Amino acid sequence: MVNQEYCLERTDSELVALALTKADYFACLIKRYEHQLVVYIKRISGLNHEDAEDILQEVFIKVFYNLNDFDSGLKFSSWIYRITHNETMSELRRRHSRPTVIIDDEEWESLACNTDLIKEINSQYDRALIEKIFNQLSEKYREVLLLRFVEDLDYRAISDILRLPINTVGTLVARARQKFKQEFLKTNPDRYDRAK
Amino acid sequence: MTELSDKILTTIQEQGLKPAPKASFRLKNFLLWALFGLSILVGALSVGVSIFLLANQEWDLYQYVTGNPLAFLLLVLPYFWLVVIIIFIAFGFYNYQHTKFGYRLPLLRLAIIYLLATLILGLGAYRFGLGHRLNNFFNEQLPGYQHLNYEHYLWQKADQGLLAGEIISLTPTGFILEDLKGDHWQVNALTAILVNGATLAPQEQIKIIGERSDVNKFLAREIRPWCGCGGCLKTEHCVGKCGR
Repeated sequence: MVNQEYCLERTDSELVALALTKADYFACLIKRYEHQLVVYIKRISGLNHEDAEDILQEVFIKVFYNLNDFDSGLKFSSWIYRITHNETMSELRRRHSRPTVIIDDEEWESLACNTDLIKEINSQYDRALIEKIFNQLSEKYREVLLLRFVEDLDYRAISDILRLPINTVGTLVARARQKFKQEFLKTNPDRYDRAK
Repeated sequence: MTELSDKILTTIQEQGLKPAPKASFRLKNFLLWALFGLSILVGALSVGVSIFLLANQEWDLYQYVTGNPLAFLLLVLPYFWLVVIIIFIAFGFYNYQHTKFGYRLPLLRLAIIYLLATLILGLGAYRFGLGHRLNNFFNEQLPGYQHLNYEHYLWQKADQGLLAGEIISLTPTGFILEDLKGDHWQVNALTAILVNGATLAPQEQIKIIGERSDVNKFLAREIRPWCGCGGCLKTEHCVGKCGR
């Protein structure tokens, strides 16, 4: 068994190198990422905790099998997020279900604030409405908004997770914000005048 | 250890899982780069042949066919090679984007780099005669390749004053010609001028500009050799008169 103190002092890259020599060290990486990844899976898929954990197990096994493919030109967190994202989307495709974003109240508010929705529309925060509109957005917009404003990742990390050029990520985030606002106004024409 | 890490490590041990060897990932990445390089190479050679075909096109013929140089250009563009270029661009893009960090380069920048590389290498291929050699190679080895070239059809327009074929025999006023479809023509060449080293002798393959005077009778004004830059009617006659 690996000493957790020892794990905490090591960087991701060091733990990858150690896990390649002894599988037990892989537990350090699991422990470091399991919570945030299970939350991420639930956020982007709407699956329950058990299903999210099943996906996460597959993710970690895939990560372990592909450890030698990890390139230090990339952050380990971006790499593992990418694998998690792809695995979750594959699972949803297998289930023929459309992903439903599930985040908590505070995160919805943060999303609405960070996309300037509340400020620009000069509206009161209305969680139910924001959630409904957000879930109507296309997948590409929802995933960049989540990664940027809920996961709080920078453009480079989002680019590495979604395998998109960094400029494209910037464009997608800007368009997603715009779309979010447009959909909001379409659903609430009475607030349009205030937004102008 | 957490429950999940326990579960995963047990699965790893039970299934005897090991990280895939580094060499397999290196090989995969190498193959993607090699295929990307190959797509640039094939693209460049296709550009080389296209430049060769366009550079050796008889542009003065537009007046007999379309009357408009631009419309003529659209007819004689080397479409076969353009399709090959497009296929290999797509192939190259696919491979590049699947390399480790291929997604970081915006598509437009990748397209510009790819096109510049193929154009520069293609010009080089043309300058060093590779375009000509490759065209001849396909003429000889690929059945039906000549039919992909509009020139083949261009010289079957007797009503528009263009005729080509092989001289069967000489006559007091000219010669008997077997055209590309196998029909025989009585050609009057008394006032014709011979250009680009064209010679009138049995088995010579020639192109004639003139006018149809009757059913299977043709009055020649100008006679050009067929063999040369654009290949030959029959490959065994191709003796490389193109000058390259």
